[in-house]
Amino acid sequence: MPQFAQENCFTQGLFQTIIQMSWHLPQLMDTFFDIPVLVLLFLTLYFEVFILLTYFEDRKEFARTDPKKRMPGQCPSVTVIVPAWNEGKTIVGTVESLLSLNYPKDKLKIFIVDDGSTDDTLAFAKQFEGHPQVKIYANEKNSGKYVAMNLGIKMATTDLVGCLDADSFVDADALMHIIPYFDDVAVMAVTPSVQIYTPVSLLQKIQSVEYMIGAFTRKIFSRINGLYVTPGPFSIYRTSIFQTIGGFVHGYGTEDMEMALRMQANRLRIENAHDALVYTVSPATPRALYNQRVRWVSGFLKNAFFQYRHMFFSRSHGNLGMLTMPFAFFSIFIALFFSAMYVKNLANLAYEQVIKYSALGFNLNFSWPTFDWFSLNIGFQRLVVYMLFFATVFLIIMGTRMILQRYVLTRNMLYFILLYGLIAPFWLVRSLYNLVSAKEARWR
Amino acid sequence: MKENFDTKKYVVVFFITLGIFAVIFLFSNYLYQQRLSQISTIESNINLSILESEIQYALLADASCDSDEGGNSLLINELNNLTRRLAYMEDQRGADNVEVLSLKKHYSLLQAKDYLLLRERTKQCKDKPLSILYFYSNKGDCEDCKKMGYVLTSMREDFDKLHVYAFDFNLGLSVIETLKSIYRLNQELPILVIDRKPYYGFKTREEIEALIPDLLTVHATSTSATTTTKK
Repeated sequence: MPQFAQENCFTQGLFQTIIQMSWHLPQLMDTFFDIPVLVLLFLTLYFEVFILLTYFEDRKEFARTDPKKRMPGQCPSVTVIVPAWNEGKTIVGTVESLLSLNYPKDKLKIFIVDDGSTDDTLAFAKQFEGHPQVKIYANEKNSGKYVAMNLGIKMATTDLVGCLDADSFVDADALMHIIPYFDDVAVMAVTPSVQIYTPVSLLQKIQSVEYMIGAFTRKIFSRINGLYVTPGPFSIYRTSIFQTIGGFVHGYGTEDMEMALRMQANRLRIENAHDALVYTVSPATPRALYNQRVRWVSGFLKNAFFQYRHMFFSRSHGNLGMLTMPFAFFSIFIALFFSAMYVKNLANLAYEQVIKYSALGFNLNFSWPTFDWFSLNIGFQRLVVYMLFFATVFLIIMGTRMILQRYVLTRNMLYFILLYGLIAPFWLVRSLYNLVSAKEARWR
Repeated sequence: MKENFDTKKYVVVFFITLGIFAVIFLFSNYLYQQRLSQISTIESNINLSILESEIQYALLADASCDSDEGGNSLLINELNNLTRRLAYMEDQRGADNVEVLSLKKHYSLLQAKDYLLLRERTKQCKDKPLSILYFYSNKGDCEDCKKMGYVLTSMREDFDKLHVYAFDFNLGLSVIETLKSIYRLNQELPILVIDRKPYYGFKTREEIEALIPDLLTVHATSTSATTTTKK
């Protein structure tokens, strides 16, 4: 049940479509007085400048460091809840990774909550029965992740409570990277940096780049207190907040996003520990990815519009209300616009090839397209898109650098650049449809 | 963590973004001026080339017909460069772009001059010119023009001696209008004029080769010569 990139899947869609557009800009953008396009480009550039400026202001905060050693007495007690529903294939690895955390054993409890699994999840979980750090709970019928989480929270007696989806695995130092943020008494939750666990398929490779960029933008959002999701894989909360603002709710299938928005609405601070690495199993098939992303984006839209609409453009909610939430919404339309242009140009390219084939037949003589500076389009809007392209490439490189700790160009980046814009519109359109056709609207 | 809402930062980012827009606008304008001056240089070169071709024609009048000069006129390199640039510019900026139209007019003049030179030279040597006048349109009234373009480009690449002169039927250039009236062309595009005879509609490569039998002879000779040399 990984829910990580909700807050970034909009911006990633935007970033990569910018890249594609710089190669295939439509001629309609050549008209300087095309006001809507200009406004769109200005907003996109504004957002990119904002996050890049934030990065350069706080550059030192983005470095990865070894976790600081702490005396056991300085380590708060932590309960990690592992809600599981039909996760028989991965749950053992998930729990073993938690048991391998570099953290005082007497300060770490693990609650496995089986949520009415119909496979062998419970049987696998019972391997850990009797382990001094592990407790197992089981719901007879499947009631949803939020119910499983609330059961764990109710039983927890520790200072902090966290969650780890049963298809995710933590790095041994992850918790030690997270704990120092709680030294600040104002911090109420800390999110980790979620990455893809051994990407194999093309879709997973594309997602691995998306998650790296996501880690970078998540860190930037945390620097401006603009986070609106505390992802399922290994977000840690102060236990006391659940008494203040209540437990998890369904949240349109995105209980972690709803929780983050509720925390923000109650002005409870969320931080990001970018060097606390967590690995999650990602969808390998187009259908699974589509379903996951529709749930995420629909969840964001419904939570934002039906429950927390008052936070949009609310100065009192700071950067979250003024920048990250509005932009997450607008970027859906920006990404769709650029993607449509990208698809249009690809279709034109394919049409050209069909014409060429019908004129000459199958031709084995391949020639690289020639490039001539003279013929380069130097129109104002085209140059702005080139600018956005470079800013976006910078974000991709910085994202991978933050995670891999080196500057690197990979084939996966190319897959991401070329293909993400072709697949993202499917879930963006469906999510917008889900929003406008929702019957359960509860406006505040 | 920074202050939750920093108005100053929003204003600073606004002005940075505005500044970037302004710089890009000025840069775009600067590049545009550069481009205009480049086009002006190209057009001057074309004028010079046309003058040179006049002189070349006069000189070739005394040259032996065995000389290869007539087949590879002085203008051919200039033409090939311009063909590539024009095709790319039309694709990138659209056929209605002012720069594209201006350059296309000069290009058409240069082609017409090269065509005349080639024709005079072949007449002098009692040869048949290996040339095709191709009339196209990119105003949406010629479905097969793209296809025809691919066929002719491929033939030009394969046959060194073949001269293909492409004219935009709707360019509104007096030289093109004259060619249209000389060959009594109707607006049934694409049109190929081979050996002074117009052919309407799309023609396959095989059909064109059949219309210019000398083409295969030249090609065969050239291939045979190359093979012999290699041996």
